[in-house]
Parts: sequence; C-alpha cells; structure tokens
Amino acid sequence: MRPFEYLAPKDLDEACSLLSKHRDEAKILSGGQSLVALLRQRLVSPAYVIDIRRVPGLDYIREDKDGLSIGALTTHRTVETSPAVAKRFPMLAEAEHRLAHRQVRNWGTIGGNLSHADPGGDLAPSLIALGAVIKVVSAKGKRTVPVAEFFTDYLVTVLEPDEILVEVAIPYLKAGSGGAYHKESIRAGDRPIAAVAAVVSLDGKAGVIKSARIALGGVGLTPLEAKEAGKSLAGKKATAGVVLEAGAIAAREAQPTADVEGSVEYKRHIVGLLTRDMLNLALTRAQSK
Amino acid sequence: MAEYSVLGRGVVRTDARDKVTGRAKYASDVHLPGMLTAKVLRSPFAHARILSIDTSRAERLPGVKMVATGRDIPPVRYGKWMLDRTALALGKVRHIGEPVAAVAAVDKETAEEAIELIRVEYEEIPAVFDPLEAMKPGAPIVHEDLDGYQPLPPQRLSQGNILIQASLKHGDMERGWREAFLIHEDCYSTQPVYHGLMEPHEAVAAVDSGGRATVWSPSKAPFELRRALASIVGLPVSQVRVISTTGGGDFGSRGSPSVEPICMLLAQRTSLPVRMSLTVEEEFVGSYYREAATVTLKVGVKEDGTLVALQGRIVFDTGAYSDVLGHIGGATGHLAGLYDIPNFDVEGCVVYTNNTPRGQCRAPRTPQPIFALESHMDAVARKLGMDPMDFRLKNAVEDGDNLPGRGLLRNAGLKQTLHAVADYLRKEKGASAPFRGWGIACGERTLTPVAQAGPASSAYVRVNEDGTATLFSGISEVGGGQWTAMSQIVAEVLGIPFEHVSVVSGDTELVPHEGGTGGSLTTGRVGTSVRLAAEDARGQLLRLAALRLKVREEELEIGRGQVYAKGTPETAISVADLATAALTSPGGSILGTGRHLREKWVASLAEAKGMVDSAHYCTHAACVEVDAETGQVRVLKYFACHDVGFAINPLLVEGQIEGGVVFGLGYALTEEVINQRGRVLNPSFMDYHLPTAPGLPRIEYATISVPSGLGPFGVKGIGEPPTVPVAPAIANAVYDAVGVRIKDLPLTAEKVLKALKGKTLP
Amino acid sequence: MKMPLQFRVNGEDYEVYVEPWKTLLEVLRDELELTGTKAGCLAGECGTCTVIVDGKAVKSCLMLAPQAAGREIMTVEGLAQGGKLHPLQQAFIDHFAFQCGFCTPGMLMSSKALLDENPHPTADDVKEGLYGNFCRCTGYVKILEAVLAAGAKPRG
Repeated sequence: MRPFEYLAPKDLDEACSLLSKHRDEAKILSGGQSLVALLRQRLVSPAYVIDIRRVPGLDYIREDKDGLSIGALTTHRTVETSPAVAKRFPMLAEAEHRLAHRQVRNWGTIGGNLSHADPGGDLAPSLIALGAVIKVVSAKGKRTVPVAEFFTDYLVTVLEPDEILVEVAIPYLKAGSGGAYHKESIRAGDRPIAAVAAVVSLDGKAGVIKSARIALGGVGLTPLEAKEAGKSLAGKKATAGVVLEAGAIAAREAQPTADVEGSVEYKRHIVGLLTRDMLNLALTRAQSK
Repeated sequence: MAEYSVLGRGVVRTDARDKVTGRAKYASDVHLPGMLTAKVLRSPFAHARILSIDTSRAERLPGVKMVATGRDIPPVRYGKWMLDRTALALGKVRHIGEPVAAVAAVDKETAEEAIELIRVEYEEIPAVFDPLEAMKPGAPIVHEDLDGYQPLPPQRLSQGNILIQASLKHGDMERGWREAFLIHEDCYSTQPVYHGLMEPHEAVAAVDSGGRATVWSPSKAPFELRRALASIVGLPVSQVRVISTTGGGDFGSRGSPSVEPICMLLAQRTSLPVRMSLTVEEEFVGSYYREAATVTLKVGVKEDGTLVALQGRIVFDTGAYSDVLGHIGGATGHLAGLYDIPNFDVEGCVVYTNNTPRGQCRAPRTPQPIFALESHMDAVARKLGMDPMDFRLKNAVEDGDNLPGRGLLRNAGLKQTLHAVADYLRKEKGASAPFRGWGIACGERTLTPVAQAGPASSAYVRVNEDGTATLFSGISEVGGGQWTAMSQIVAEVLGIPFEHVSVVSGDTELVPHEGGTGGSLTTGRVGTSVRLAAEDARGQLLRLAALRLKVREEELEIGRGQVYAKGTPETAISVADLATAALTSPGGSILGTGRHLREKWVASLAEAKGMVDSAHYCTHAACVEVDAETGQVRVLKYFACHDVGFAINPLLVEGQIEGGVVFGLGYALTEEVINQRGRVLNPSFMDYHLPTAPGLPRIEYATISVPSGLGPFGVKGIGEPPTVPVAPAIANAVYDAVGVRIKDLPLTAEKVLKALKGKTLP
Repeated sequence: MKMPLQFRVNGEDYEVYVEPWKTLLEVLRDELELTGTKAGCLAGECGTCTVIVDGKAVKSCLMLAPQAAGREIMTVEGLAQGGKLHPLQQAFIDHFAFQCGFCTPGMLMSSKALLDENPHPTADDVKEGLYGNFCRCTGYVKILEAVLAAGAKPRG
C-alpha cells in the first residue's frame, strides 16, 4: 500500500467539502471490501482516503410510501437479512445471499459495492430490473440517477469526482408483478459466469405480460440491461416459447469477454438459460401476488 | 495383530492445543528487532536478455538498506534435484515472474516503492510455451548451458529442451499386439495446479556477528535446506542453522528452497534480520506447482479382458525450472503399477519451456499418468462390453506379479480395495437414473526400492527423570500429524502414556540429521528410526531394571510407566525411578539412538529380487449428476477404499483420505493455473478455484490392512495416494452418466456441455 | 503520520499509534503481537485473517485499522476463558478439525460468529456460514463435524 492521508469527516457535509477539495486525489472508503484490496496491490494509490463509515444517517432500510429506501452505508448482510427486503423484494435478498461470502457481507456496504461498479456485482442487475434509482450528493447539491444509467464503463460510473452515493430507492412492485435473480458461478460466492435478474408485470387477466425488465451481470464491461429481451415480452402471453425467445435475445444482447469463468459462447448460453429460468420464476411470483 | 496400547488409537494430536488457541508459531510469527522486509522485482517477459539494471533511484530511497541483482550474488545454481536456477536472474530471464532484483528496506511500503524505482532494460527473445513444440529441433532453447549444469540427469539422452527422456520396456510388444483382440488408442491431457497453500512461502533470516546464519522457514526438509543455503551463500553447513517453523500446508511445496536464498543473502549483506514472504499473486509465478502433462496410450486386450500390451508416452511441461532429476522413471512406472501387463513400452519426457516453474505436488507425477490410465481402462472395458469393475479385478496386480522398473510385488492390497468398492456399489448403486452415473478408478503409489528407502533418517529418544520421554527428530509438522504419529511410536515402545512424550524438532542445531518429510514415506521411514531409538532406550531401561530386580532382561515387561518381572507387577520399578537411577549408574542417562539404514532396507529388498513392498493401493467410486443444460458436474457421493497397512492413528488417516479426496476433486473439476504465453491469467484465490465447503459430496471411506513388510508395525504411506484416483473416477462417472468422455482436465461445465452437443440424451 | 487508535480487543482496552494505511490484521499482529490471527492471501478470499468485530465475522486484511476505532474486536486469543477452552476449540480438537492449523483461527472465529447468530445450525447452515474460509488440508469434513457438534450441545 502507498501511504495516504486519512480523513474521517464527522458528517455528510464535511465529507462533501473534503471531496470537492481533493476530487481525483481522494477515494471514498466505506466498507473497503473492494478498495483495500486495490490499495494493497497498488492498483489505486490515492493521496487521501475519506472514510465515511461513521457519517451518521446513511445506514437505514426505510419502507416509504412508494418504495424502499436503503442508505449507502447499509451492509450487505443487513439487506440480506432484512424482513422488509424479504417481504418487498425477495430477489434482492437472494442476490445479497450470493454476494461474495459472509465476512464480506458483514462489513461491505451497498454504496461501496455500487460505486466500485464491478460488472459482476450481485446487486446491480436486480436494481436495474426493479427500476431503482441512486441518489448522489456533492457540495453543489444532489441528483438522482436510474441504476440502469449509473454504470458507464469498466469500474466507472456517472459519479463526478466530488459526488458521493448516499441512497438507493426501489419502487414497490405493483400487484401482479414479480422478480427473480440468479447467478451461475463456479463456486458459491464467485464472480458470475453470468447473472440474470428479471422483473415482470402481468396484466391481471389472461396472463398477458404488461412489461418486463431483464438485467445481466458479469457479461459486459458494466452490469447491463437486456432491453430488447424485455421489450420482446411486452403485450405477449407468457408462453414457454415467448420466454425462450426472450432468453435467446438476452444472450445476443450480452457482451461477455472470455475469462476464467468461461468463453464468450458459454456465457451467452448461460444468459439464455438463466433468462428463461428467472422469467419463469418471476412469472410464478407475479401470478401469486 | 499385536495388541497395542497407544498405536492404532485416535489419540489427540500433540499440536492440538496450540493450533486451536493461535499459539502455534509459523514463520510469519517470528519477529526480530530491526527486521527488514524484502521484496523482489519480477520479470514481465517470458524469455528475455537482461541488458541493464539501474538500481540507483531505488538505492537513494530513504529506508532502503540494500538492492541486489544477479551480479551481486554468488553465481550458484540450486534446486531440489536439478540445480538449474539462481536466486536472482543471471543474464537472462526464462519465465514471467522470475526474480531479477531484490530489495531490503525498513518496511513493506518502502520495499514496494523501491521495487517500482528499479529500471531494467530487456531484449525479448523468442520463447516456447508448448512442450511438444519445445521438443522440436530449432525451438528456442530455455537453458543453453544445460549440459554444463551439475548434476546432469542420468537419462538426459537428447539435447535441447528435453531435460530427461526415459523409457521403460518389458516383454515383446509385437507379440502383445498379435495377441490382442482389441486395441484402443487415445490421448489425455492434464492441467497445472497450484498447491493452494494457506500460508504463503515465507522466511526470516538473521546473521550473527560471527557470520553464522539462522533461517526460520516452514521447510519440511530443514537439513536439505541447510545444505542448499550453505552452498548458495558460500558458508560451511555448520555455519547455517535452519529452524523449521510450523508448516501452513505442504502438498509438496515445502521441500525446495523458495524465498530463503534471497532472504539469507540480503541478511548477510545488510547484517540485519530480513523477512520475505510471497503474496498470493507471487505464489502463482514465483513458486512452482504440479506439471501439466499429455499422455498418449495404446492398449491391447484379449477378448476375455486380459490385458496384453500397453504402449505409452508421457510428456511433462516442467516450465523454466525443474524439480525432477532421475524421477521420471516413477511417472512411466505408474502406468505399470496397477495392472499385470506382460508387454509394456512407455516413454517419459520432461521438457523445459518458458512457462512458470513446475515441480513436486502431492504424489508428484502420479495423478497425470493415472488419470490417463484409469480413463483408458474404463474405455477399454466398455468397448469390450465388460463391467469396469470386473475388468479391473481380472487384471489387477497381486503379490508375485512383476512390476516393470520396480520388481516383484509383495503385501499388495489392490484387489482387496476393489472388492470393498464392489461391495459398496452393490449396496449404494440402486436403480439407474437419467444424467446420473457411477465411476470407479484405482490409484497407487508404488516406488522403486531405492526411491522407497528414501533419504537418511535418525532420531534420539531421551527418557527423563519424571518418566516422560523426549523425541529429538528433524521431522517437520506440516499438518499431517507427523509429531503425533511419532510420539505414539515412542509411547508404545517405552510403555508410557502418549501424553508423556514430547517432541523437539525442526532445528538443525538440536536434532540428529533427517532427510525430511514427504513422499508418503514419513511414517514408514522416519517411523523406523524413531522406533529404533525408542527400542534402544527401552533396552537401556530394561538392562538397568534387570540389575535392580535381579532378574534376566528377557523376563521383564514394560507398561503403564512401570518395569516389572513377568507375572509379578507388585515388584515394579517405575520408568521415572529408572531414569533417575540411570544418572548415577555406570551406564549413564537413558538416551536411545535410531537410524533408518537405507542400505539395509535396499539390500533386504534386493535379496528378495527387487521386491516392491509397502506399495499403497486404493480404489475410489464416485456418483455424479450432470446438468445437461449447463454441463455442470455435481458429485453426489464419494467412496474411497485404501490399503493403509496399519493405521498408527486412524483419525489422522481419515483426515488424509478426506483432505486428499477433496484435493483431487479440485483437480478433477475446478482447478487450473491458466497460462497464456507464459502469463498466469488467474493468480488469485478469487480466480483460481480451490474447493470450498458448499457443493462437496458426502465422502465415505473404508480402510483395509495388508501389513507392509518394511514400515514399522506394518504401516504404509497415506499422505499422497487419496488424491490420485479422484479425477479418473469422476471422469468415468461422467461417461457413465451421459456417455461423453472428457480427456482433458479439469472437467469444467463448459467442456462437458461442448462434448454433449449433438448427442442424444436420455 | 501515525494516528491514535483506541479499541477493545478480547476484553482489554488498547490505545496504539498506527499508520492509517495499516490494516486491522497488521495492527493486531504487529502492534498488539496477537499473532494467532493469520495473514494468508491478503485479498479477502482465504479467510485465515477472520476476526469478530462488534459480533460479526470480518476479514481483518480488508479492514483499514482506523475503522476499528471504538469497536469491540475478538481474536482467537480471546476464545478460551480462564484457561478453559471454548466449546468450539474443544470440538475442533476432539474431531481432528485441523491439520496444518493455518486456517484454524479464522475458521474458529467464523464458526463462533455463526453459532452466536444461529446456535443450532444445520449442515447446510454451516457450509453457508463458512465458505469464506478455505482449508486445503481437511476437505472440510471434520470442520463441519466439529461445528455441528459444538452447535448440538445445549448452550447457556
């Protein structure tokens, strides 16, 4: 690790002002489960590390009127075991359950995970499919970004050098909606060969799909939405054929690269299978709601 | 079987309390005042000449005490057998990750910074990564001066990159092919795998004012390390002291010098203690691990299933540096160790390439040929329409068979393990289900008599005035329970409670010479010297007791810490009293010495026409389920049966079987050090997939006991064999489940799926 | 450059001066000389450095030391009380749940956190709770047995 200056702001305002002062020379530390490993390998060497772990008011899971709000400093384990999350978004608890392993989930935070922008991160696909938004603040003010637009490149987000992610807000699913997430990986907790999140809304009667959103993890430079696959389902009756076709489209939309988890072809193949399976599970859940 | 009071029992390990309380001392727990941290700069190129190295900026960095390059150190080559490497590159680099310069600094951060300030100018030269390419004339030469290295392997017949080319022949191949009803030929390949050490390589070195050096290292062969280090730094062996610390895993990785040479050179130059450890990323490029191999096999068999001919060729990619010398014969011999094949012709090659170095790993050069052989035998049996179990039972070696390159077999338990697995399968197999299959495979660890005799071993046993005993042995505790098993032997022979034996070990200044732990030979070989030492001490106790009790020695018994005349335990004298009395007796204190006389061992075998004894045999069975959509192989059940000869501590044996099977499951299914033009693509525990707890099958086992005629109390080795047959058992089960034969390890989901394409499935 | 760090380790209060780029692992081992916690892969994968922070198992190689300020840390050295081994330590001994022992301190701390949260886990619960801890020697069989046995005992 390269030596750095450690700064521990006492509140969010101070954190923002420190960050607006040091910008690119600073890194925000929250749980550090990605950052500390990068520091050790000297892959990043900031002059300042701004530790926001103790900043008050960012560790919460709140059931608001329209949706669930989760503070940036909430740990993965808290989300995984939250009754509110289990009730509202079981797919999110499932995603957290497969994220790395227990120790990482105990200390790592959702804000840190999303800001690090690992394309194989377990949270992003579900949040994209659920239509969640990210709230960010800076000394200049605040703004809201849909998770689907948050990631721009490998380990890069829309965050400006002076911005801090403070909350994720997830709108509640309407009646007749359901979602599911699964990661196929070599071992439990590994990076995905491919991961798929699917959320569908039914028209109530006759099992027609009103809308569907499908998002993929580990098969591109960023988590990404399979928009065409989602669109292909809208207005259609949920038959096995339609679901299979959506899987084929999602497989084409994936942009995997070959690595230790598998070849490009294999990852696309898994995307197709998972899309089918997650759509079926989401449909079952939608029907039971 | 004899009645034992301590042997054969699952007594609690001697190191148990220290290991569960965090008090066990590993190399990284050695902390010396003023200790420096060492780091090395590694080559980014697979094959390049070093034109210049500029260390000036690094030297100027505050806190840097020493920067060394190949020019600053004695040009001494070393290695486990093949002396082919230097501590820092000299003139050229032969693999990515080869150490080029080393830094000793006041702390880790400074050392890391200094490394980045060293400038090296390289000139890349053509490299070779495929061993088959490396064997061709005109291939880039990895070691130009190889023929000048000492010692040169006896089987170095050819030039160029082929380090060793050895063959093993027996019978008449023409006749074999003529007699064959069916001939089956195929090619198999295996991948390089990493030991997966939890404790990375680490050492601490210090040099005193007189120039005497002490090195703390988790070496499993401290005397070997002492000799190597003395030659590298140019000191007499007596000026080097090696203290072997608790080993955080071995699996073959702790037998050769690793970070110790650089650590010691820097300590010598700076006159300060130096610590050096590898990061996990460095482990993958700066250490060595199991060789990849390609194995071609051609087997002839009669219509009734009798094997008549085997022709084979094994090529090992040993990377840029090697740990083999004459041992290739072992690899070729493993193709002849399981079945009685009258006509046999196998060639083995070890080839240098510009890949990262390869060497010893749990059952060196055995899992590769056995994967090929046992996959091939399964295929042959199926082609004949024979049950693979019946086929193996028909051909399995037994006592009196001649193993080419080894000798006549005695005390072999292969058939018994096959029968045990057959019994298990009758109970467990049940009705067949789609995508589910069972596979079996045999394994062995047979060695030539000379290899089996192993290096020298010696031990002392001192009986203390309180009736306890202290064992002085150079054996390292690398995890297998070596100290526990040796303590059990001492307790048994001296008739004292197990808890009354303590072990002094691992310090070359304190214990008699010991060749080291390894080769699944420790309990047999070191156990022999320990037993002899304990028997010597016992004899001294009995002589003294005979004088005191005024009876003949032969009439005495020893047990529960007492010596007494047979039938009259009320006359007993305690071992404690005898040990105290000994101090003022003419014979002096009770100190037994024992030496494992390898020549005696070899000679006794030679007398019996090159007998192969203590061969370890096993048979495994696996039940798998294949997901036809993803190709994923899930292991549902696993059964391992081993002939252990005699289990000194059954719980230690169980641990070796369970751990060995899971080690083998990693080899079979998920582990591979992925190389691309000499670069390791997955040098981390995130990308290198060691087995973890979820997804592991139920592992059951059985042991049988065909006592060895050599090992003390009939023991046979157990450390390595359990890993050997796992991969072919899994591959054979996959074939049974879905009819595809994967001939290329590991059996990843992707490979299975690819093989399934275009196949009609149940 | 050094900064004060106050925290509680194994029931004792400590104040040390540390460089902020040191990890909790380095401070425990080098400053407090609590070397029971092991430095393995240093990348958050192997689990040998697991300690308990405010009741939860955490990898100390991935936690910067300043983040431990004011927190309650427990390491393997804190398990035995008054010379009496913790039931998990005894279970590891009885079941031969270690070989080389390098993973053992981390394995014990993950197991303790697991049992504190779920005193009577199933085999699947244990596998789930422990897959962030690697063991190369035992194949996990005896470790699972030991944790299940410790979990089967009546507690309190």
